[in-house]
Amino acid sequence: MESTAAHEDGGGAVTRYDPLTPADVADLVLGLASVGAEVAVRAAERVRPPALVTRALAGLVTGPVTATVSRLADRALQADWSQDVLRSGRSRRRDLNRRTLEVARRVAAAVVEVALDLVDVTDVVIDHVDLDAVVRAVDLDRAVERVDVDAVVRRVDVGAILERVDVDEVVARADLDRAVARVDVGAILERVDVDEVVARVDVGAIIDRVDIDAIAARLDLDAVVARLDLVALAEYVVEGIDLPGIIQSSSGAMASESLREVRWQGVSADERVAHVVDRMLHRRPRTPGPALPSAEAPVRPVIPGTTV
Amino acid sequence: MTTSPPPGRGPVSRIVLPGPARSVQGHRAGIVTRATAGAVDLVVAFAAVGLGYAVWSGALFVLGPASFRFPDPGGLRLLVCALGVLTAYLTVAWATTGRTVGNRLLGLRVVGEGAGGVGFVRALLRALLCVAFPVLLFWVLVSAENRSLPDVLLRTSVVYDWTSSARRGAEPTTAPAPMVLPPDD
Repeated sequence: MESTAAHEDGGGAVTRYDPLTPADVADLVLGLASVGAEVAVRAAERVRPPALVTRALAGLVTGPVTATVSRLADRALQADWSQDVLRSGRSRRRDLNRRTLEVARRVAAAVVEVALDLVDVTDVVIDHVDLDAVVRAVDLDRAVERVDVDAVVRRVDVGAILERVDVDEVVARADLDRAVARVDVGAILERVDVDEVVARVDVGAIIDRVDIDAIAARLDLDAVVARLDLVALAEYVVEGIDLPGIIQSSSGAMASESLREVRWQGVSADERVAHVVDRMLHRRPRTPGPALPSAEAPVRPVIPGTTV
Repeated sequence: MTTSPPPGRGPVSRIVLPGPARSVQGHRAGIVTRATAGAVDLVVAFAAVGLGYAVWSGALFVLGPASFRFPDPGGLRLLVCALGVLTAYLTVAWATTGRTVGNRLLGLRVVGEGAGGVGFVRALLRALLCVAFPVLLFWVLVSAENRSLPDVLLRTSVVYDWTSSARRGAEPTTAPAPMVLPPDD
């Protein structure tokens, strides 16, 4: 706006200016108005013309002055006094801006104060603001990332907080069932080293404290037996003990007392005869048991009336 | 596969037999019981031959009552027939259950060594030897293991087995418990 460039043109230096902008025109008008106002004030102080004359002068002067000012602006700018007028107008405009802002602040504060007294802002927000949309628009992750949680935690006096917390009341108000239902017990168990836990348990001490008799008294043996496949169990036992052989051996003539007596007598006679023969042959008592390897000591039969 | 217990040492003897009787089960039998059993078998064989003679005579009487006379096969033929019946009877009994009527009466069983029974061939050879040369049985008297010569030749044994299990046992390979015989009254 002001002198920006100097060009060598012929013999003398000519100062060129940028074209006028609306702000420059406004500054110029303000400057001229202020000058004119000062002149008018001084003139009015000296001469107080009648009201009619001033009105007529005003009507006659306003129109031509406007046209003349715009037409003469470029030419007037080239003069030094016009620059003074321009600076004066600019400073006046800044002053006016500042005052206007100050007044606007005071007025706005007062207006807002009154408006807030009249209007419940909370209700207004609730009624007219789509809070969901606002929340959706907020990038909470990013906001959280910017929070230095460590610093926050460092500033927290956990001890003081805990002293003020009534844990009993908190626990009483907590819905533990719901919380437990959300716990993935399986995942927790996978992370637990059961072997280590068991190794640290003194099972002997636990067993010493357990009343086995009381537990046994509480057992529902009937229910246990009802779950057993007794038929399969009986078949397993019968297969192991050769029940047909037992029945055959314990019934009929083969199990009679007289037959046993005959067999006993036969066995006794065998042993006696063998004993006599062994003594006659001057050898140690025979071992009529199974043929054993020489390394194994045979078991001698026990004959009644003899010392082994 | 479960191996069968030694004869007289299985669960049957533990359940059925009284304590003292269990101690002798599985031991090789002596000469008295074995000779008695052989005598019983001989009686059985002769009884069978006599029964056969009676049946033959009855058949002849039914076919020709008018001309009926008791047949006279001759003593030698009867003896040979009786020994043949005895051989067949011993072979079948030892090859199947390991015990004849005499063995059953005295509580004996013929077993092979190792796994299981005697087998038909060994039973036949043993029967032929026992019938043809009964004196070989008395080797039991001098044998330290209560074995007769047929037992030594054919690697068989005769053990006490009071149970009636149809399962054929094997020669015991472990030492049985000591014998406890009944006191003399």
